[in-house]
Amino acid sequence: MSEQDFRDKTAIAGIGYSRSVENPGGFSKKSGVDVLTLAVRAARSACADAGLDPREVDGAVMYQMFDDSVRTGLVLSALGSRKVGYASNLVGGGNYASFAVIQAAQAVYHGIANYVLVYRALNGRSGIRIGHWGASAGGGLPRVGGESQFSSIYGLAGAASNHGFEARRYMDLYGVTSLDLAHFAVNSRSNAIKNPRAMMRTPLTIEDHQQSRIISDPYHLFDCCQETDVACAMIVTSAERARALKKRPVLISAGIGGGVSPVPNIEDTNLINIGPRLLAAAGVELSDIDVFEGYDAFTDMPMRMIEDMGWCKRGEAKDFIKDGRIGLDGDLPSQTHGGLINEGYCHGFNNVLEAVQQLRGDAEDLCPNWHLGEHTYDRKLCRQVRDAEIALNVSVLGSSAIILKRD
Amino acid sequence: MSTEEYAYLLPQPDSLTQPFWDAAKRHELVIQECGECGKLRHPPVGICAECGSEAIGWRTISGRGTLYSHVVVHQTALPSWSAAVPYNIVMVTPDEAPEIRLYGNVIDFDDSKLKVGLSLVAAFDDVTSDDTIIRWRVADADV
Repeated sequence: MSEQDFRDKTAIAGIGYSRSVENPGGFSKKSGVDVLTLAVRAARSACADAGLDPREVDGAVMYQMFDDSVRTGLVLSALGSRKVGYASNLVGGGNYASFAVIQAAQAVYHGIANYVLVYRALNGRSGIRIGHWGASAGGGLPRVGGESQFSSIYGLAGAASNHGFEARRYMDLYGVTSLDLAHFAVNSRSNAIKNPRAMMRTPLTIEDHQQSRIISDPYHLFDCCQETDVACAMIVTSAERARALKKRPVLISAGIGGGVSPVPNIEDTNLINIGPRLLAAAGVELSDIDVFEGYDAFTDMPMRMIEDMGWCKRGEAKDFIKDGRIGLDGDLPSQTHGGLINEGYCHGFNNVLEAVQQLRGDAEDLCPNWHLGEHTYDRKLCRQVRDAEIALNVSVLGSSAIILKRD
Repeated sequence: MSTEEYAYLLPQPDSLTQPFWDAAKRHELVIQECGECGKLRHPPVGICAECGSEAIGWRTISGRGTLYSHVVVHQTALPSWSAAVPYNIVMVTPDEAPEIRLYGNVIDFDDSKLKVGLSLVAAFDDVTSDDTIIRWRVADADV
């Protein structure tokens, strides 16, 4: 099978969040319920969005880290699935946000299953704290083994410290400053203000960013996403079946990745390996991409992706992101929901759901009839990108990526 | 200092890493190498990615290196380090093996002056009577 065979043959038919009366946005610091409940809420909501009887779901793909989620068997049985043809429990991190969709699409494309549920569900703040990896090194004992014997002994643990090395090197080598990162953060927040789902919705200024406390230098507080309780889900099916369902399908044009090939340095993303192949597989040019949702656990990450995809040269993202270029009416609207940093951290998967909404034209915002796909484009209320046809979603550091297209 | 008195985490060597820590105790920095093709690698592993050999050797290197990147931790995820904030963590590339990156801390230096590219020298820190861990000092020329 060549990558072209696969192009546009499968689609995302519905999406859903773990909303509840107490937690209408879905993203919170304390869901108050178990992870299975979160997963099934999101899954049912995705089925309802698609207009699909949950019992028709016959496959599932999930990803988890630190055993922080619920496996496919429990979720499929909670949905009342009658015939399970495909189930995959991926163990890993944000590298699977785009890949989980690719895997579901492959299962559908090859006829193994017809309606595959993809989900990421976690109590990432109130349960197993996802950003605190390595924090329990030693388990209370004074000694640590494995790779931690070369890292934790120097005080290394947690996402902000581990990824801070990439940011610092990128900044020192290319003259990027914290002020530059602040510009990225402010653009994301300006979109989040118009996203009722977002956890962070108060206005943010450059000064607010610069004055926020340092977590792990070079990261200030507002460079970092926050650990979140949430589940996000989608239904992947064939393009043909999706057209018979309720919502306008979003086609899966191409996808690559899951694991990473070596890159020369930590400031490089895996997009230098897979970016050109991805575009070729989708049959699109860089200039065709209308929306970019890159994994933004920290502000520098999507900036480096913008460079490694080729929108600008290394070190130039700091200029590229200014003057509204990544704004809703700019050349490359980015983090249109506020990104992981502001909407909340569903381990990258909410960025995929956001791309789907932008392509369907029903981004949830403050416009009175957003749910009918009626947008005002008044940027005080509206965060829908005009006429978005093609979106690029990239997982952490370019580990996997997909191109989605509206049908 | 005894193990009980040292406030931070200590290494738990295993069969693959014991020679590294034994050398540190002798105040030597060693890097594992393939016993067949000589390829250097870190952290230690049991099989060579270059040639597939399971023969293991160790090479003593100078202890001179370059600051590859760093963070200054103000909010730590490790409870045992919370009293130490802010503190730096560095990644160092040894001169003899620039593709290898070692974590460590730079001592006796102003964190705000840390910069990618600084020349560093290994500093063997005898933190307990049984343990020596490797930290780094900024080389005289760069101070």
